[in-house]
Amino acid sequence: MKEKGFYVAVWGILVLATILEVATRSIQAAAIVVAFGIIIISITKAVLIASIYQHLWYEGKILSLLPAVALIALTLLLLTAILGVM
Amino acid sequence: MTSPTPLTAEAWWGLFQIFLVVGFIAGATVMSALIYYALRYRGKEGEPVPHYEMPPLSQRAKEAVVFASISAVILFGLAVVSLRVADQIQYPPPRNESLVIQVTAFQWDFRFTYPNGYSTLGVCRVPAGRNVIFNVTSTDVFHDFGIPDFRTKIDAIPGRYNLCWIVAPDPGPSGSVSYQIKCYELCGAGHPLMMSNLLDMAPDQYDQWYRGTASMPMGGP
Amino acid sequence: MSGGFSIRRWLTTTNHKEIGILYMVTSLYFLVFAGFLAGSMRTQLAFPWLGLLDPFRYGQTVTLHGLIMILWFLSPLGIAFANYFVPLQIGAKDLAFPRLNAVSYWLYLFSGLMLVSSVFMPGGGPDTGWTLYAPLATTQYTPQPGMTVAVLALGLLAASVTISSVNFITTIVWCRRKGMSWRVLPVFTWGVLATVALMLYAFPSLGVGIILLTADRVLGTMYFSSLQGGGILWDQLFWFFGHPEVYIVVLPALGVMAEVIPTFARRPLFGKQIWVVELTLVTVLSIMVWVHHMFLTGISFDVRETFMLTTLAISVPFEGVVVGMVLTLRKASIRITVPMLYAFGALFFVILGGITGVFQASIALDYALRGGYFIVGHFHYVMVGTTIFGLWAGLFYWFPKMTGRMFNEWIAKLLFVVQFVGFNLLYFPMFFLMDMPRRVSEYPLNPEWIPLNLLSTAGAYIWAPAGLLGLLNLAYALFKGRKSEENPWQAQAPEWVNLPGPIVALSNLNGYAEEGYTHLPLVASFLILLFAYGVALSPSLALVSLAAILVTTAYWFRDHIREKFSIVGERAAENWPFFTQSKEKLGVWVFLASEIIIFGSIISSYLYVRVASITWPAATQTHNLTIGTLNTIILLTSSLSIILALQSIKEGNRKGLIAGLGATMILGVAFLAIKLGFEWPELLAKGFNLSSGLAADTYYATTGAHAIHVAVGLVAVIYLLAKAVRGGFTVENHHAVENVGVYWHFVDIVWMFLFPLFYLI
Repeated sequence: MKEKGFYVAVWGILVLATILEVATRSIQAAAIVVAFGIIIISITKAVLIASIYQHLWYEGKILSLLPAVALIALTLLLLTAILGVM
Repeated sequence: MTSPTPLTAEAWWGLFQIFLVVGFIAGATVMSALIYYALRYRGKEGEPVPHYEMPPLSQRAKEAVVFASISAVILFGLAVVSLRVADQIQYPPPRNESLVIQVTAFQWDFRFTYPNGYSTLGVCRVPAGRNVIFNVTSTDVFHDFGIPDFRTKIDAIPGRYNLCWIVAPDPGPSGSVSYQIKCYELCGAGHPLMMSNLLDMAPDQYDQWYRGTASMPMGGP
Repeated sequence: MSGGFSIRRWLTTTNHKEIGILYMVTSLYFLVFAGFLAGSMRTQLAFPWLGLLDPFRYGQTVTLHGLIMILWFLSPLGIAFANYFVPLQIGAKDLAFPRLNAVSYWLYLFSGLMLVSSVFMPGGGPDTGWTLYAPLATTQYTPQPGMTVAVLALGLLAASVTISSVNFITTIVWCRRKGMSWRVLPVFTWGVLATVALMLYAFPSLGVGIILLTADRVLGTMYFSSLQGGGILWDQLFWFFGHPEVYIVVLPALGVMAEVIPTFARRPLFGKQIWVVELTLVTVLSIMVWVHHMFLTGISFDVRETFMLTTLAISVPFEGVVVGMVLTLRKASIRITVPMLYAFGALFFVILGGITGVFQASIALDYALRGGYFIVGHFHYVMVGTTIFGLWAGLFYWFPKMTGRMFNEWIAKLLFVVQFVGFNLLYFPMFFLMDMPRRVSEYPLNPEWIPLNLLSTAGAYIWAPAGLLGLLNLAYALFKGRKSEENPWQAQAPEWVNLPGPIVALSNLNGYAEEGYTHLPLVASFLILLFAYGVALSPSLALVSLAAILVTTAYWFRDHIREKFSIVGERAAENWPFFTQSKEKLGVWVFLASEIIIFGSIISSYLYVRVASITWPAATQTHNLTIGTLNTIILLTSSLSIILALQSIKEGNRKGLIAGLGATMILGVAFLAIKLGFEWPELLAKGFNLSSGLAADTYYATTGAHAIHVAVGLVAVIYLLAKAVRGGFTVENHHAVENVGVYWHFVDIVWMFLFPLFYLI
């Protein structure tokens, strides 16, 4: 029961974060700052889902290496592509 | 090639020779070791395998670090000279000190447009001794504008303007020398025959021709 | 069914050795075909005035030659050896997922046939070079449907490779026998592990390029025909895959060489642990060098300079790998056998090829070398010289193990010498043709190039027949060769020492029982082939075959659904450091790593064209924020329901499991219904469709790909429900729920990024 409550609590945080993301859009600031803030919230949500729902927090840390390497490779591709044409 | 050697080409060949020498020495070293070991350490058929004390891993690790460091130093040196030559080749001189010619690649020829708006197809005339900047683009697919004798080329990409530049050498007593321009990126069925001519003219002859283009219809030889 | 030749056996096998043989034979057939294409190219180049191949034919020939050699011959031959020997080396029964292994093979064969079929279609096949550059590859410049068919064939192969990589990684990590620790792992298996790890992270990028190019060609999107996307977008996606791909090709050969050389030098590999570290460094660095294929595209100099440095850096560990093998020979007791000769040849070629590669790392030198024959010489020395001679060493080395027979060594040695000479004659002249453009069928203004081209073609005419005779020599030995001793080479590697006698696929030695033989992989792969043809040519074919695939999938899992309790899962004997994961969970996570790159590349393509666009419609004007937020919360809730379902069954609460799965299914269906039944029609009615520009193209492509993943997830959830309702899950046995959940949460995470990127920013 306690475990289930924990999952529901995380869900609550995720929903709240979503609403926060939508609200951030209306903040009066430079577009790049707003975008940055929204992406930070998205990353937080993703990390929550990955560590709690996908159990990455509870598994051996080595398992996180698989998605982590993919993310690093991906960041390399994205940065190179965008920086290349800027 | 009996034509005089263009300026940037000299820098390029110098760099190529450095790589060639370094590469040859490195390759010959490893290859001679390979051949020497292969010949020297032949075992005899039927002979029992002689006892061999494997050196400790730390020795191999030390050797690996030594090899890696030597290679890193050599490669770093190559990087430095490469960057120096790269700067020469890819950063054109200021536009106000140069003649800027628009190069438009298309399937399957090159169009050259001069500052006065006059354009030619398949032939590009340049004056000797002056900086010439080529502002290269494409109207359809990926091409590559290459002048092999000058050791330079640049991709022609739709929507992008890429630069390459040359200084044509003195054409000598003949008054003009012709160099080949080729496309170096597969661009369809016409790719093998996508070529143009770079006509290197003595400066006064070029100026005479250029003045004459004012009265010529757009596009001609 | 007892031994002897049986077509049914070969069509239904899932045994790793038999699949290895299938890969081997198939790849050799592709070699002969693509070799014939090469021969016709060389003939055309030596005698261009004869006009044997006009430019269009030549373009198709060079495209198919490149694609088939790289993707349908070299890599699959490495995979053939991997299939046969990795389980033997690590002491595993078979690969982790044998039926999927069979699917990999059939997809490989069918995709190759599909590629060849493209040439015979009206308008011909692909003539863009194996690199399929944009915008040449779009319908505007290459209108023939054969091109679309070829692109999809490549996509099928990418699917086959991805499945293989998941399979091999899981096998090597999880299925080792007791005592087979990482320290003791044979170098060939290390080479295979490096290869499949690269495949996992590199192929998805190609996959996305293929998906987007197919969308451009079939649906009319503008990813590669627009100026914002276009050639550079394709370049980035393709070469992010393309550079690791060439290492994927050469790594198995390096692994073979590292087995063969110590065996015949009768010394252990010099500093094996260091060698493995250097191999790993090469593998990791190979993901970080791809922009050296784009040095003249005019993108930022700082980016290009960075990649010049990484490209030079990769030489360091690579040279360590080579030198380690050379140093193994020092103070050794070398026997010159046929495999050793080929390994020597491969070493010779990797030195020459590797050094000429360093030339290409220099941006300055690239200004003259790009697009010319110097690079053609370089990559043939590594991809053909090192790889073919390296894999041939493996072929001769393992021949007695696979067949129990020995080949005629004198003929083989003689043919080696002829091939070595022919090879160098064929490729060395290319280094002197640096001004000759690639992929040209004639060079009328440069008759000075004819002598070198003639020399090169002469080399081809010497090498090819010798190679063919060599294969015939082996084929003869297969049937008539003398019986070989158990360990004729006195090798020390596990497959020789631990398993005496030939481990033969081609006789009844391991028994041919009915178990493990199933027609499902063949059927499923064939239906996927039909689906691919449908996508290229006929939407109705695509839909029908998709339905058939669903039915086949249900049939595939019918045993799992029916059984009330499953056998206690395998226990890994050696699985450091992956202690807590089951085989299937590890497989899911490995697969998700490739999915991260897939979605990441699709999202990156969207961000790339958006950054490159001067104007972009504001999200608020285009998209319905209420629906977007609602769907986000629906998806989040579905993640909650599926994790609650898992928690329920962990506590033994079967009703909770069914309720949770049911809720997940309803929420998933709601997500899709709202999106497809309400949101998209609303957008289409506004005129926001695939022809209205990149904003629409990227939206539909990205969220469409996501919706497909949700749909696939729903199929899995329905399977779970069906099994749960029948009482198939218990407190001890519920791993399928967890594994599907991991996938479901991943799809949710992707949406966490799609929502802000399309609706908020």
